[in-house]
Amino acid sequence: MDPKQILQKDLNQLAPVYLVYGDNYLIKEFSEQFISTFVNQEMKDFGCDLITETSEDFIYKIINSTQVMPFMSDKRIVVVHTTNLFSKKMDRSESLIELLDDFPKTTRLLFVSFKKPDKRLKLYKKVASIGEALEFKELKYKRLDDWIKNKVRAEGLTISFQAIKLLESTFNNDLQRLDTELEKIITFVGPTSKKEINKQDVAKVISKDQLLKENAIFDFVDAIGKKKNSQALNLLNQIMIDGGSSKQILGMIARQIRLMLQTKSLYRKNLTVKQIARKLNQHPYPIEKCLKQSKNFSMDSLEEGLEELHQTDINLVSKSNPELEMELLVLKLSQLGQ
Amino acid sequence: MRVKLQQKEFYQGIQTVRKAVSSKTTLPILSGILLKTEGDKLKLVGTDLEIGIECFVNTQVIQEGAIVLPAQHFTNIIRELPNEEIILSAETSNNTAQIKCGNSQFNIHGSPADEFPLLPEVESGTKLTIEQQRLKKIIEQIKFATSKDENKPFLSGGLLLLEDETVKLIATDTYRLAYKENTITDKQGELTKAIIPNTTLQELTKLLDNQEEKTKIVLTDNQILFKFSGISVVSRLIEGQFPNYKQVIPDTSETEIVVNTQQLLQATKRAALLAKEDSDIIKVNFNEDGLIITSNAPEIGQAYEEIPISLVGQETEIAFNAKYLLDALKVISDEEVTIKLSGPLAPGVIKTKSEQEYIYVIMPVRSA
Repeated sequence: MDPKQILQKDLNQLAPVYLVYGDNYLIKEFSEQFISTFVNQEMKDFGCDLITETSEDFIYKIINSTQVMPFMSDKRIVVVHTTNLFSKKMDRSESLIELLDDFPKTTRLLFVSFKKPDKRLKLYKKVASIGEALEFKELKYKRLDDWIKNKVRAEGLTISFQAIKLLESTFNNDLQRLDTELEKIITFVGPTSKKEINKQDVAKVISKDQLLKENAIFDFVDAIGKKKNSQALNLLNQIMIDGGSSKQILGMIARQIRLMLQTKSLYRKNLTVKQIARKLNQHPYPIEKCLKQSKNFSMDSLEEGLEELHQTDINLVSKSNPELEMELLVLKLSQLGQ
Repeated sequence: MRVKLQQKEFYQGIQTVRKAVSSKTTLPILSGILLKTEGDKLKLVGTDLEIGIECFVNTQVIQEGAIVLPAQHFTNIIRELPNEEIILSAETSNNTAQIKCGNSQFNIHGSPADEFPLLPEVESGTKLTIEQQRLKKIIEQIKFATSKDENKPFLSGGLLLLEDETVKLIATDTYRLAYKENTITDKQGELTKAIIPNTTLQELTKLLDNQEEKTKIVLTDNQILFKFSGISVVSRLIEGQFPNYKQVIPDTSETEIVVNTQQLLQATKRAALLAKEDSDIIKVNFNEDGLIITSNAPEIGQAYEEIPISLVGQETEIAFNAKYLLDALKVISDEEVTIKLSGPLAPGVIKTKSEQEYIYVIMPVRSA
């Protein structure tokens, strides 16, 4: 069912329990709307409980709260924000199932799960059978465009297509982030200016940390591909300072070398860049770059490189200095033959 | 700084201010106690910036001065010393203190006194006085009902209302509400409302004495000061809108009973032993012949308790969370309490006989 339809229901038509999951921003927004729609605002503090999974007696709190009679309203609303309740078996979840088996008629319960539920869990099945489980899918393509447009329109402004694309390419579909950035942009152009927000406005205002951080890791693997030692070491240092984990960086290098190896061997079979890209399920641009870089290495040395990676992986878990291990790896890779 | 003082008195003072010293803090200086000579006394101060406690210990001041010493080690040292005269000297040039007592001597490192935050001056504001034991009782009767819910910070304290001749203190976690009213005679000032943090209420009940001596209270926009027996407690207030508690206290009822407080307390305690796990629900029947409490833990067994009562109005039954009922009964000293009900769905009200003084509203739960 469309979540909007739930919000249009009468309090007495609501199912006893709902579970929402999916995009964190959208489910949080839904939980707020659910409360503002169904809770008597005057008696909000007494008629509604928001329980978050922070303390150990979290399940006890849910049971306790749902059993209390509503105050100055037909129904008591209980909203539960949870991370683990639906994704792994928890100690007292049996008690919750018992509660759902004999659920108070005077309470309506909304679970907001920040992790994708495991549909095999008994608790999930129970909730789905007596109530409804709704997924808020991450917004993509046109729906994401529309979301941004609507946010801007709600402030009385419009936004150009290029501006939307720049926002999307920078922040993907992280709605929380987009929301903050849009607020900044709208404040920047002036909420009353009635103007169309263009690409330049966006570029001037948005936070570039994420962009820089993401680029650093690509520049780093490129530097390895180009055998540019000192640049690679500098970038490695920067990424580690910014909190990049050695495992993650190792994964990126492995991906790059594997891609070079695959590209090179397919290229030898006379496939074009486009064909290689399709075969490897990649965008042609990185494949073209890989192909250029792979000329710096022979097939044998790339295989050797993978073995070096394997050894570093072992060292990372068995030795105590990840920075040193990563630096050694970069140096070893740069010595691989052409 | 150099002072002479008695171990027992010194330790008592440290214990008093120690309650405000924060255990987890980002500011290292706050894990210490400030010691400062003032006249012929030694001032001790502890604070975590939310609450600050200050007290004075009688001393013989040989040389004036001040230092901050780490609360934990310092307290442990003074506690273990014999009840004799202690000579405490501090060297400001390298921030170290020397504690001498009998044949023992300790040198500990401290911090400069000027880094210690000053407690806010709370002077101008609404003022009133109230006997220590009365204030202690008022707080004790409501503090347990404050909320632990981080999502509702404004409920994590007690609402203090100052009217011309009455002081009211109210606390609720939305499952129950405790209301206490008392008389005051000398209120001066305009401010009438404040939410006092739960931690401050807790510390006050520990520090307040059962005596007639008065506590001076000064209330400002964002701070409240309590002064009694040489101790000052300054606390920040909680911002936010406390819910309209008047709407929660029902003014009519269909059933009214009078019951012996101790009998009800004991019976509830016993019945709670067999309340269903995770819910603590007990069922209470109010009949002409008596009050019957039953509980049922399906896998363990059932409990049945009967108490004589006098009932006016309709017979009824209602279910409560036993814990909430016990919390209130434990702090009522009256021999009898009045319980007012309006059916199984409406909140129950417990009142002490001395009408109006203490009201406890408890939300019913579903009686499964």
